Amino acid sequence: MGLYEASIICGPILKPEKMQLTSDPRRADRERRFKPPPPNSAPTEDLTTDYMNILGMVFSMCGLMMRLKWCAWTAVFCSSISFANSRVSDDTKQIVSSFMLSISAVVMSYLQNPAPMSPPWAALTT
Amino acid sequence: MVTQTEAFGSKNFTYEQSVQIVISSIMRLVLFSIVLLLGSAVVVQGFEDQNLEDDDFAEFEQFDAEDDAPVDDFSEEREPPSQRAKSIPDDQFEANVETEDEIIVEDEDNEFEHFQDPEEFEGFQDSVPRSSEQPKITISKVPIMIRPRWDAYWLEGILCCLLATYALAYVVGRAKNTSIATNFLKLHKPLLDENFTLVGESGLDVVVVSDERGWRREAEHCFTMWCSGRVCCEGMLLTLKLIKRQDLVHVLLGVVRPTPDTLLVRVELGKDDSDPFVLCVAQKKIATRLSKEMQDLSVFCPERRPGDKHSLPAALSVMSECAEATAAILDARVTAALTQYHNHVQYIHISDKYSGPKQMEETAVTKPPETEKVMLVSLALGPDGGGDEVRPLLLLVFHLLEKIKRLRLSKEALLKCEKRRQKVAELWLRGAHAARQEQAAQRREEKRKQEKERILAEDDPEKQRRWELKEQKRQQKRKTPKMKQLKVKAL
Repeated sequence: MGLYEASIICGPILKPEKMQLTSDPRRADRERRFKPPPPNSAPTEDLTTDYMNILGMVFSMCGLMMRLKWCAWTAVFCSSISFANSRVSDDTKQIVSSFMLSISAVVMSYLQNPAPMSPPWAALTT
Repeated sequence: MVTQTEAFGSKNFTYEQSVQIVISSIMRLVLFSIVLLLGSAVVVQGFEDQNLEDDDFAEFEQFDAEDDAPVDDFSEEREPPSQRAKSIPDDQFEANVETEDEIIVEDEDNEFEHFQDPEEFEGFQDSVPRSSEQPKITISKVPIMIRPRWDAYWLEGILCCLLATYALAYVVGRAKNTSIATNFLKLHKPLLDENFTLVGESGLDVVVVSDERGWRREAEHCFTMWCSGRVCCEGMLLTLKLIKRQDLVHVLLGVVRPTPDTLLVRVELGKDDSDPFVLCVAQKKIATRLSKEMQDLSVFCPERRPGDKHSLPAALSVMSECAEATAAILDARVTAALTQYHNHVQYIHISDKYSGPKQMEETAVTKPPETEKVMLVSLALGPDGGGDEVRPLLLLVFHLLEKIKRLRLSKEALLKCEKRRQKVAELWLRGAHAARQEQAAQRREEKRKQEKERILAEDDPEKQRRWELKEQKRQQKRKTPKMKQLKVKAL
């Protein structure tokens, strides 16, 4: 049946060995609604957002707990990278919360100790 | 001092406002976060300034002390309370001593006596005239030392600048990616409209040019468009995977290791739209990766042949299940097109058993992966999102579709392919069976362990002994057939 149908549909429409179409290939009756392809067939999903989110979380916790300013700053950068790479379908709450956490880590560390950050090589020279 | 802090405040505000003006075009969230950040930094530093100022004034304390008498006045005025505090308890104590001697007689007289006592209100009359005098406060001119303090925060400044740059790169990159997507629509929408009745989506977050249908934004670098309503296929999903121009880190990585913008075409074939075969034409490097990663390629097409054997450029390699299908698909027109555009074609993957990349060993062993009939074409776009080279490639895709539809394998080839599929399915079944058996054995073992624990937990020694006997018998039973086998072997 498939072969027969194919010859009916394609036979008169297509001239073999030609890219130009002599007739309209559109078929309204073959219109299908979009269904997203199964998740396992997606070729290598992008995980930057998740990694950066977790990294940002870890760094901001370090910044908050241990008063490490550079940790807090790194957390801010991590969360902004995760924001830039996020998908539209991703949860915005998560991104907002990671931003909040990292910024609060910066603010808290400067409220605790307003001294400016010293570069990492300062410890070596002195 | 008050005037100085006000001056600081106003300076900070103008700084913040100017920053706001500069980046007012930045997206709301980024702006919000950065303003928050800057604001917090300003607050923190302002806070810090005050602290430092206190320290700075310590330098001028000496200066003040020599300066004026009013300062001395203050110190005088502050001292009496402590004296007063000392004097009152003394008086009361004395009064108490007196009352102890003559409690009834002296009590009424003593009750309000302290109002008449001039020492009780020491400094009361003195202070009134003094308050009218108003101590004169002179504000000595302190040199404003903003420069060195702000300089100390150079590292924070750099970090803030970096954040601002990142935000700017985000805005610019996003705009660039969007313009690539719209440009693609401008160039190729007419062709798509000629081929499909349904092109693109309408909705809220949709990138369009003139009409209402267009790309759906999946991420700032990823756009998808579903086209459907055509012969030879169920639908076609175009995915525009652009360089992550919105992410400065990826842009910098791209300088080190450049990656192109890609257009991924995923055509879903109908039930009768293709014969069962797997074929993949890919650039060499990608072919190696695909043959390792992809489930169907690794199962059905173990052999990887260089493109020269199929009159294709040497940069391509061909993985095919069935030579007949390869010869039919790669006809003169396709080979010509591939020779011309082989730089842009990353891979063409036609499969009736596509199930994506291989699954990890531990997961999903019990049932075969779901498969679908698809044709995947990945195209590398030229610099800045491609131009006219995409059109012939899209035409090639349509041509391939029609080829696949018309292609009918000969009986022998078809039989071979079907057999291979059956074999694979059987393998899956066997694997699944083994896995299930293993799971069952595990469950049984666990059950026995639980029973043992339960028996051991009980106090009845008789029961325990009985259970142990039973267990021993069972173990022996298990061992005996093995002994027999050994005997046979020995003979």
